[in-house]
Amino acid sequence: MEKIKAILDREKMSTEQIEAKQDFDKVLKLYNKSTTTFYKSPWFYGPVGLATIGTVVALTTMGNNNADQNEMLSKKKFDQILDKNPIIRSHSISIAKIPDSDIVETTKYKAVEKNLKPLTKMVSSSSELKMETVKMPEDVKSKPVSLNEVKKVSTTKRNSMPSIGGVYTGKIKIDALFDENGIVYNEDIIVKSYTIRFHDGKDERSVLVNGKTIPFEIKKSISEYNINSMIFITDIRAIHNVTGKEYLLSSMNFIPINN
Amino acid sequence: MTVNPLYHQTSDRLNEELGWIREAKSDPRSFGPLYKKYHEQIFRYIYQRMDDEETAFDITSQVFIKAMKNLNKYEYRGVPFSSWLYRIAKSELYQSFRDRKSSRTICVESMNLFEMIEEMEEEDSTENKNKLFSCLRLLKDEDLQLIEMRYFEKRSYREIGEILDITENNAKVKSFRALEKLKKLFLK
Repeated sequence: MEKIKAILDREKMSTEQIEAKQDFDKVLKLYNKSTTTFYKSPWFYGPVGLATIGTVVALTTMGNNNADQNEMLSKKKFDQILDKNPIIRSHSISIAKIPDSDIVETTKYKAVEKNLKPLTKMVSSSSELKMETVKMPEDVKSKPVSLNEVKKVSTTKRNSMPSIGGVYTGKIKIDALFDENGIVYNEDIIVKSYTIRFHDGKDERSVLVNGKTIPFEIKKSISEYNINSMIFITDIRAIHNVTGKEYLLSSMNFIPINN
Repeated sequence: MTVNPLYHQTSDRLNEELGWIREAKSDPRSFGPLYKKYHEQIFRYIYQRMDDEETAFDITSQVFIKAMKNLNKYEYRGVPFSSWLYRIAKSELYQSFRDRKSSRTICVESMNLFEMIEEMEEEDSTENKNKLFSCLRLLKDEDLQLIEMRYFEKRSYREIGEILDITENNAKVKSFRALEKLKKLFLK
């Protein structure tokens, strides 16, 4: 694909402008045209049809002419041979005809119909994220996901991402995940609440937590049921301890692993 | 750009729609109400991704023609008709790029850039906005689609999943990953 073009603040089209361009009659016409069989269309009886018929006739005629010419040539050649051999000429012999080319029987193959894949598929009903236990569709199961590297946050500069135990995404050891400092960002911005999504052994759960550390009950579930499975920490709300300004921090995904 | 208001439909509207679909299967002329209902949103989806207005209208018409031709293959399985139309629209759109009728374009509003910069906890400056704007063009198309649908068009993960024919959970994970890639490019 060619390089992508980017446009900033393009003027939006209004609903009225778009509706003015609606033309269902034109669409219906084009649809009917595209579904008409060829031999019913005027094209067949027009220039294309006549040209096709003309070509077929010409080929057939040429074929016949060639056959006549072949016969004449064979006669001529035969006469030449006889002239050289007068003894043979004296005997009455029939002119050998150049045999017609063998007609090879062609095998007819059935046209294979393309089975167009339906554009819709069975979609299992999925659940909305709620603050209580939710059922996940059966085909979505927690399974081990391997990420390439663990992303660590530098402590020497101001962070642009939140983290737990120095990790902001990827594999994380259980001890680091349950770090007593919890979710950290920058010294002056404190995490107030977050939503954590994990599997509790029965279902996927989504829990709103006030504070920055992971509560004991959730730690227990994660340790038992979420090793090598992804957990999500989203909707992380933080507050500046001086200005009081609220922040919504980037979400984090972790894959807890044993120490 | 606002959330697609027609996606989250009441059961009455859904039943009405099913009635139109049933009629249109036997008589294409009955497709009119569906065309009227979805024309604007399909056009906006297409025009968001290309540079030429007239071509966008042509492709929108092609989408509905294709939908009418394949209507017998559509079965209601709890997925709105609009999702099926979006899939056709995506296919027609990319076909037009391959045929070089138009070029892939991203249309961004300053507000979208501002929100993304805020989420990244970076300074809201002209320099950063321009930097982010340039980074969007460097994304792979698969990631760009997710960023567009989630952060510019504000579609739900469920809707994104249905358009891309993936699960809702997968749409969420892929969207996070696309954003991570964008952040990585931005922080370089």
